[in-house]
Amino acid sequence: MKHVFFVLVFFALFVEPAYCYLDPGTGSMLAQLIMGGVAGVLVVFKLYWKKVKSFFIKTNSNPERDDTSQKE
Amino acid sequence: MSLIPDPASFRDPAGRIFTKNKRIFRLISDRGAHNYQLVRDTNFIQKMAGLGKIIETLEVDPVIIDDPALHPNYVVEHPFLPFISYPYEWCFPMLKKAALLHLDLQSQALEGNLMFSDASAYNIQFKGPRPTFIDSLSIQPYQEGQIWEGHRQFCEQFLNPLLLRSLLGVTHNSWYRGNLEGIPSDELCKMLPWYKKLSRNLFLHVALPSRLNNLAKNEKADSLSSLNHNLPKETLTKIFKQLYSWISNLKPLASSNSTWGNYDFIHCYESEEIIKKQNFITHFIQKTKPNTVWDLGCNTGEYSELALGAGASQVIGFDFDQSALEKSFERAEKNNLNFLPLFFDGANPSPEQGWNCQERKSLMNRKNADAVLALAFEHHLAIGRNIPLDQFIDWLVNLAPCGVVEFIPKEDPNLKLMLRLRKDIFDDYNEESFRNILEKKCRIVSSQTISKSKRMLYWFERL
Repeated sequence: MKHVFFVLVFFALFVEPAYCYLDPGTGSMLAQLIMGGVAGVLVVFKLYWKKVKSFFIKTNSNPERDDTSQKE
Repeated sequence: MSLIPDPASFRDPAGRIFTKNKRIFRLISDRGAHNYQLVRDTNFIQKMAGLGKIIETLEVDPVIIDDPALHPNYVVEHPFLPFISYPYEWCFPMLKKAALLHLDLQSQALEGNLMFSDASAYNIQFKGPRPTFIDSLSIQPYQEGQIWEGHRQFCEQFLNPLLLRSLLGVTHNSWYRGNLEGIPSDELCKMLPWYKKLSRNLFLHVALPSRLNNLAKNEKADSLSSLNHNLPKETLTKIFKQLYSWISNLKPLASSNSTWGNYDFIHCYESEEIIKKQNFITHFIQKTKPNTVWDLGCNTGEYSELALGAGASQVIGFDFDQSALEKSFERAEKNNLNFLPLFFDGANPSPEQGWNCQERKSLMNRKNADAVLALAFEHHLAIGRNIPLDQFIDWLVNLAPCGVVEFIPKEDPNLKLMLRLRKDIFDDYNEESFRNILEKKCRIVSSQTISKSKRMLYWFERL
């Protein structure tokens, strides 16, 4: 569980998000699920994984429509 | 007199607050009736009201609501609160005490299978130094596996403003007053150095939710609603306990910006002068017998306490100095005084704001003083903020039917200090013109010179 925590710290601090509208309470909900155990952690990993995947796929195939690209 | 809907009570369709002849009624609609019955039958609210933690709630016959447009299922009555204050007017220990009350109630509620539907700091009000929760309808039955829906709101309205002061030394009041919903986690995170965010609690409650929130913004709504929301009850209990213990240990970051916090030790008076001043105030309170006194520039609450000792039943103190306010609050707690010290800038008091500019009332619209004290206060506005004497007196006299105001002459060392680096543009600032203006608006009952530097006290009655 400790390792999972540190990986999360890394993602949360250094992976820049993109911005659009959604319920502002989602982050709180996900954080509570993480505090609740592994199930929540998996959900968040899934979200991050999607993000990493979309970064590579979109950058390679269609750079012009890259609306979730990293800021760096 | 007919029912008047409270302009701040519009968010929850389960019920609304109305006032009628200084009586407070909560009308519970169809939508809220079932939950209300369930919660009422647990006796949680009655139990907590007995301990002073939740406002008293008395169910009354709905026929009392003599209005054909309203058909409440239930009507409950709450005691009338003489003064409503807002979290942007509280000092650090007050906000902290309110946060701890919310967590304490939430923990105890959960033991009885109840949960708060929100975590608004505006739902807590102070009677003297004691916080009370006032929104009984936001307590609802707990559903197995539910998350804490008020978490984000708790962080923004309680936790983040406290962290702002305790981690960065920045007071929450101006920002909170500007935003009303509190300090957003996103914004706080931008100000914190990255290594601070590694601390466990800060990471879990502020940095992580803020990041995940931004991350989830890219997700479609249905992909999130299909998430398994089951949160074990033990986790909730643990979250409340962790937050409670974390917040209990938060302290304001030491700052050196307090001018008046050590006023008790750097008095501008000699001991016999203090006695003269105290006697004047005591005499004024004993003769005018005010119920509520407003003490403008209350400092550490010395004269507020004196007023209470002389017979006033409640004092609301106002000051702009955080350290002085904190000492005032400490005094109120320690000596169990009905004294509420609030943050206030005389030249910019709390305005009407929020939805439709009516949700949060201005200070002037919450006037309830029978007497006002303005001791060593006038020069901060007249000299410090260039408010013309006639405007200051107009404003002061308008606050209460009688009061005591202290005039500080230019010869006073404190005033010399204020004028030392600026041009003296205050040609008409003298005792004679002060008295003349005051006499146009008031009857001066008595006046007395109370210091070698010719500080004057005036006891006035509005004409």
